[in-house]
Amino acid sequence: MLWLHLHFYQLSLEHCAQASNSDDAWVVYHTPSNEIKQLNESAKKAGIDVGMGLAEAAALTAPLRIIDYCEQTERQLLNHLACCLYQCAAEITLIPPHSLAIRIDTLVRYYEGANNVWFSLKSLLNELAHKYHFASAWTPEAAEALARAQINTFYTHKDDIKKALYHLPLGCLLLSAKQRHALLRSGIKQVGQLFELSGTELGKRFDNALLQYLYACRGETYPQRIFYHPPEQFDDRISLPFEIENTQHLLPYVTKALQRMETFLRLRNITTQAIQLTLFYREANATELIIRKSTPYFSHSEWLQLITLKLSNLVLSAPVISVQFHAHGLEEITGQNEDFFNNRRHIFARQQLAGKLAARLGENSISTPKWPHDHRLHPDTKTLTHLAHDYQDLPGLRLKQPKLLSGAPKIEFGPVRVETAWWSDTKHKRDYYIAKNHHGQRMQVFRENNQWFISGWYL
Amino acid sequence: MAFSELICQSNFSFLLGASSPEELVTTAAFLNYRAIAITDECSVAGIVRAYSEIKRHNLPIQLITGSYFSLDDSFQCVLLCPTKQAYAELCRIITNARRRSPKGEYHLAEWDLKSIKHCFIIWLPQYQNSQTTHWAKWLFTYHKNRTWIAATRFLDSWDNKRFAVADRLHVEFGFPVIATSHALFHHPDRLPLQHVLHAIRENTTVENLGTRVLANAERSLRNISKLEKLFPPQWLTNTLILAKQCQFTLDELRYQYPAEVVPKDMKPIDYLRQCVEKGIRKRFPNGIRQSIRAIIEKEMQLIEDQGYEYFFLTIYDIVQYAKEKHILYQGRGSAANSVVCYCLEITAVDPRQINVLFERFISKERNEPPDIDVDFEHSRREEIIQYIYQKYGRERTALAATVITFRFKSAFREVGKALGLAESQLSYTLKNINRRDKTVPWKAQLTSCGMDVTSKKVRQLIALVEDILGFPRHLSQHVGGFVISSGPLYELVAVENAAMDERTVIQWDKDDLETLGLLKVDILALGMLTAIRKTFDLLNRQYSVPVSIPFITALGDDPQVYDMICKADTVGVFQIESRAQMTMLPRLKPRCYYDLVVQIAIVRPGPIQGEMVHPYLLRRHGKEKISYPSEAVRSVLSRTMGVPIFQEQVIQLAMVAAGFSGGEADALRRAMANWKKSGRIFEFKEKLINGMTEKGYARHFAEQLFEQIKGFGGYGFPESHSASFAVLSYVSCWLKFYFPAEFFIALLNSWPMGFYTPSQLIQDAKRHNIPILPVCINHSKYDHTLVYCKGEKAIQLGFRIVNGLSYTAATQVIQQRPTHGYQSIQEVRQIYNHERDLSALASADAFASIAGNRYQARWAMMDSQVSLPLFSPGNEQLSLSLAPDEKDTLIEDYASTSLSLRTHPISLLLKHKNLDKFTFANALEQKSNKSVVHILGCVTCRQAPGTASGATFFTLEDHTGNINVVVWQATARHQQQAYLKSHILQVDGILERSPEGVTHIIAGKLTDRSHWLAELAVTSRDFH
Repeated sequence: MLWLHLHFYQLSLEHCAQASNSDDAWVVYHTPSNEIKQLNESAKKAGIDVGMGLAEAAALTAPLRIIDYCEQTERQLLNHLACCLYQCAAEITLIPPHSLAIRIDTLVRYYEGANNVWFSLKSLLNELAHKYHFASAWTPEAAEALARAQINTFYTHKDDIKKALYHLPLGCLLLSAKQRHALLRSGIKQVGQLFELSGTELGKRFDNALLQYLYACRGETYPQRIFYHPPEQFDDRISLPFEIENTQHLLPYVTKALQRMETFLRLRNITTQAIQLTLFYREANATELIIRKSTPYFSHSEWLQLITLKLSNLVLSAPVISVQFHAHGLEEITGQNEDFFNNRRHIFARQQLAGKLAARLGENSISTPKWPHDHRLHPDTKTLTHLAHDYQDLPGLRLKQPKLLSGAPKIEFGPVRVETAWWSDTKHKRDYYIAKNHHGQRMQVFRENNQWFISGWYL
Repeated sequence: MAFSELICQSNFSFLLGASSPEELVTTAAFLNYRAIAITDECSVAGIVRAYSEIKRHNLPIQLITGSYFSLDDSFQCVLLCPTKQAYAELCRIITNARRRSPKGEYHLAEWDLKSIKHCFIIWLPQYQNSQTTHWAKWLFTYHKNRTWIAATRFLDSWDNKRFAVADRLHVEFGFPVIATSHALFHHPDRLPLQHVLHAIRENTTVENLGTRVLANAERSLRNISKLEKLFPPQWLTNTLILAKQCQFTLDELRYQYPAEVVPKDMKPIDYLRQCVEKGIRKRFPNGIRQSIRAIIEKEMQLIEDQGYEYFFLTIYDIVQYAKEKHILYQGRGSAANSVVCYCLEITAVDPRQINVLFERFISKERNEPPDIDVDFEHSRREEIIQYIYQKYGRERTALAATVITFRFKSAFREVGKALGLAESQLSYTLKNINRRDKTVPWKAQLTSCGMDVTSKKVRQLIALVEDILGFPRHLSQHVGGFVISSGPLYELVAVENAAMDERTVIQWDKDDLETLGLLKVDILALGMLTAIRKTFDLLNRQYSVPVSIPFITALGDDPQVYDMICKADTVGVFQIESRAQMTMLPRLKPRCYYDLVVQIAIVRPGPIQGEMVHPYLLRRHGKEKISYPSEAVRSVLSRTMGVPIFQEQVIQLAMVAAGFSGGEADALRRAMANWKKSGRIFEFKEKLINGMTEKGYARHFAEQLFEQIKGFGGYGFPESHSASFAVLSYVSCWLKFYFPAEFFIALLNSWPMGFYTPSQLIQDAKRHNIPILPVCINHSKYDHTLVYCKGEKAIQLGFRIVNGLSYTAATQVIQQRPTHGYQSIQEVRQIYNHERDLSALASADAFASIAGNRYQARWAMMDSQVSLPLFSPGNEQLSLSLAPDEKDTLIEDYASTSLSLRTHPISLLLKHKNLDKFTFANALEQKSNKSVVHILGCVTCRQAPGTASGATFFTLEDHTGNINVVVWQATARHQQQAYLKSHILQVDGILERSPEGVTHIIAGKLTDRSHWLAELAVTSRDFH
């Protein structure tokens, strides 16, 4: 057997469009462990290293650009990679979040030599433009150990593999911290020293799982593997490395996703009729956009044009944190995909209705009632329903801008004194009253600069 | 119209109230309130501070004691104390509610409320609760005549409803209504701080609190004209009626001593005299001089006049118990060093050796309580505490509280979080702010940490951190201050659970107790006493003459011991072992007991900041004439050559030179103790300086004296304490000089204690040519033991030094050790097979004699089959042929026992690197003064005392000894990484040698060389 292990060591960094070739130092940072996980060349030059804490890294260079590490994103990106590599090799096994192993020996026949397989894979990998460490060995376990040591050599001969493995430090094996600690504390520091110990000696001291693993590393057993199967549907959700406020900045991520979709569609000889693009925000509800074409299509550039147009009209209500693509109406390319009116009704009818109304009446005429989040009694993006408990008499209609009140109001209740939001830019100190005007209309009023203002009407 | 605020929660309602009790009473008096009630939630913790503030400033306001309670969501009330019985009742209710719950919480039961007989109840009815009528009927049934309704007006949406409810309850049930602001802070400006406290309480940000925060600043003390507009006049008048009925004041509290310390048929003074006479016969077997007898009589008279017999007898009783159980102790404090205490065997300080006059400290005029702290062996103090609990019962005994306050780090982090700043940013900033850098205040350092100090949020952060500093956070237990009373303690003060099981604390701290004149007995722990006792035990096993503290002190001052002290060979001894003390010893050259008393007190912030050290040294060595500005000053300063050294001298100077009255001097003393918190010391500055200049003293001298007073803040060292400590210092030096092996063994067996790590102590023992034998499975006991090696006394290291080894494991291994010793690891495993412990032993190389090196021992231990019944122990073959090299051995030694007997890291480096350019500790003497030197060593200590104007003192240890390095602030600031993080440090600097031969290296360049032995983690004791 011969397996190739690929370890993509900076997936998250590469996923961030700006980071890879930037002159600024960029790092991928894992908050719970306070560790730098990935970094670009500039960061490396500044003396930052993987495993460093944020404070130390920040002290070494400024500005330091930080991307939050997200294991889920790495897994998704790995899946995409597997999907692409599937063009070349069928027996791929995923080692999430950022590695995969490819069985080579079964391909030798087709490519006429192991090195040819490697050459093809390398070309494909170059196209995908990801950085990786690699190594080949008799089992995925052994290949992984070598790749973890960043050997970056495609071995085909057993002697070479053995020699390389024997010189590896113990840390390259996938041992638990406890096992590694126990071995190191017994003076066993290299893989070769461990391999030389007899199975009986090891069996007295370690569990079966470790023995199995070591046998696999030594190439004496071949544990079963679950191979990667490409998905039936194209559904791609990408977490963005940082919050994006401008739709233009979304485009690099959209492009990459569409490229992946194209690969997906091409490999299956299918097309898609509609793409559902969902933009997720940190707090606000997600925005769902459906982009349709009258005729099904697969080329990413065509779809990109449409989506660019759609996005150019879109004003983001909040920064986007992730994007999801879903290809709807997949069809085999048969030349009979002309059902133009299919799939018109869907769950987004409410938004469509609102959209229609807005188009007819103008956007300013449409408003959605929202309760304020704090005592300011101001319209706010955040909604909380419990406010009704805190305030007994809130006006049913609030004015966007307070209106000057002519004449003296007849105060019915008050003051309700609000003194808050000192922490924000709009410190708020005001006395509100419920008053009646000479028409008998009740209103919420306040006094400022010796003048009365109406802030809302009771209905 | 007049008004009394009857519901007011201070910052002792933790994370709720946003003003101190002092601020509340001062503002209430300023607003012309007739009375104010401090009603913290289930607590009387803040009341004494309010009381003391009123007394201090003679504020024209009545203070009412009370407490706020919440039974559940439907019922909240405030209890006020009209009488002393009501106060006792309140304390009982608080105590019961607190004792039922874990520390910091309380659980009120309906029964508690039902049992009220004396307190007034102010009910805070809820306007939207279905239970309101139920509670109205309940109160009407049980407390018809003592219930009042609180009406609040917070200027919110519900004011009308609240008024309507109050009115209805008044009409239906006849409860009178009082107006209240239910104040949480003294001034509207404190609203942001209250919001922040609220956010900290809910662990969120002020913004996310949404509508849960107070909507406005109406929960402050409002002026009366405003209140008149907000409330009906009758409701305001009712506050006065209720306040008038609350006549209880804290003055009425009288402490009742426990009576059982005096035999039933005797008067306390007679019994005390009997005990003293007994002591005289013991202490002065050859008869007592007339002058001492006269002092005793004077002291006895004073004790009788002040009624302190029980206090002395209580301590006498405790130390008698300690004596009976052979627990070493030593009393200290002003009253402790009286002749009476010497006779009662509370202290070993012979009054003939020291000029501490008892009367000076128990002063009739000042009426301050006597101060006696008793230190016990730290390992056995618990026995004393249990004795006290047993003798007086848990109901009558509790520890004093210590108020834990917001310190800079917690304040910065918590406020920052409440304002919504990222935790990682706050942690980063905190890590990078150097609070010891006095020249650049923390606010100015924020910019370099990436914070924009011009932004609103950061400005708010700074202001709020300043506000919250010193705010109480929770109550903790005092280190050893016991309050013992004759009756149940909860009638005197509320008691609550401490974090430790079965420990209770009262809700007042030591200052509160002092304010009210309540006595506490300080039962403290001192590691050195344990070490001394253990040395005595070792000696008494070898020699027929029993060695004890009186035995050593009776021998008089030993010149050889003082020679050792003058050479600063004082690692491990008591008090004079620190870096600063060791530097001072060759300069001061102590030659007698009183010199030691001065030596201990002089290396303190007070004398250093007051610039008294240099003049004292000059005068001591005859280089400056001893002069006194006046006869009065001579009387105070003659024993310290005209230079004020002790705290008492400074206070006395304030009296004789600046004309302070006794009361003022006492106030000065108290302000001195915590000036950093309260800043009250500055109230005395003008009076002191003017008083002294008016009496003809130089202004410079007066200002220096004031600086010294400031320096004493928190670290003040009275002569009486110094005198007690000097006894222990001398005894420990004597032991170290004559019996170093026993002394080091005792020290190591008493660890953790003192200034040095076991590794440093063992290095010192080696320098004294004491052989050290490594931990061995067949020879070690749990403690380190004295053995003879080639006819010499040697230290056999015990299992206690093995990191991670449990006591149980060690004792089992020792108890079941075969007479011929263990033959194999498997034999040990048959007896005790706990992986972690055995692994710790293997790491410490304890199996070297039976299982080869560490690697082999561990490998053998990992074998899980040997423990199975079919596999017999014994004949296993070593299946591993690996052996650790020298570096690995060193690393393992440090990891497992924090020291290595084989080699020093620097000597190991010496083998592998060319270190020719470095000068090692033993070669420094050959270098000339002011020469440039390059040194290399393990950082074993970093100290940045506040008195050293920003300098940090490093101790570098190499294989030949220790080197003292001074790092100035600017040097440190520019080489922050090496300064803060090095384990092995290279210093390029200038050698400075004082005329007395004290050598320092003034650091120029610091280079971190830790990577040379990257894995070696030599622990440094940083920043003490």
